[in-house]
Amino acid sequence: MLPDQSETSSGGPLVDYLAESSDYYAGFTSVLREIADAQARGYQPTERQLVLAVTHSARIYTTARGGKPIGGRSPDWLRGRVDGLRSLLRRTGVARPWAE
Amino acid sequence: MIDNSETQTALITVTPTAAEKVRELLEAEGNPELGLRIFVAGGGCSGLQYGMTLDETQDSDSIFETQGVRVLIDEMSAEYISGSEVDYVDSLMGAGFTVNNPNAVSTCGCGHSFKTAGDSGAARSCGCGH
Repeated sequence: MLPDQSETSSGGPLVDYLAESSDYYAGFTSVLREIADAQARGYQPTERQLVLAVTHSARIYTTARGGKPIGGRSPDWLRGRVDGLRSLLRRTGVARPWAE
Repeated sequence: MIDNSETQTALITVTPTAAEKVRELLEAEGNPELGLRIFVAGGGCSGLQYGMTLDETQDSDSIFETQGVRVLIDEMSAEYISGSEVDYVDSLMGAGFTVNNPNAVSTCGCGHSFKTAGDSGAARSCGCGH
């Protein structure tokens, strides 16, 4: 599942989404996979937990985004997670309560 | 530009093998401002995952030098990774940096995912294949 224009961390239109790195999609899909797995076990994350997860990932991404990856997960993977978590928040209707 | 003249007590250690590899990578970059950044983020089969980059310092970083390598850790990652050892392994499973974390109560075979005693919830797949 590809993020739509309103789900990007930049907030801007996603013109060339195919140019995103595989790390970005690995991060984005990891969120969806983990949530699907959690829901299959009867667990539903609260909005507060999702907000905390977005805040945590976004802050670390902001710090690490300029670096060159040499091991483990990359900043692009983090960006994908942030967008994935934001897309989940949008579905719960609290990501941007002032929109629409 | 952040002043790096005052370094802090080492939060983590770097093995001589890992330090040598990092120095190689830093020399290849040719930028004296770069250091080894280690961060911890949510996700993965064991709840938390590591990442390492060559990066410049930021305001919120803990900065220290170990084995001749300047290490940068942001404040949010520091609480999860304090006391860890960064190693570089070259085995049949592949070569790469790994983190041995005393705070981790369980780890994934990929070496990048771990879980601390304070975490809750069931283990999840991180997609690493382990």
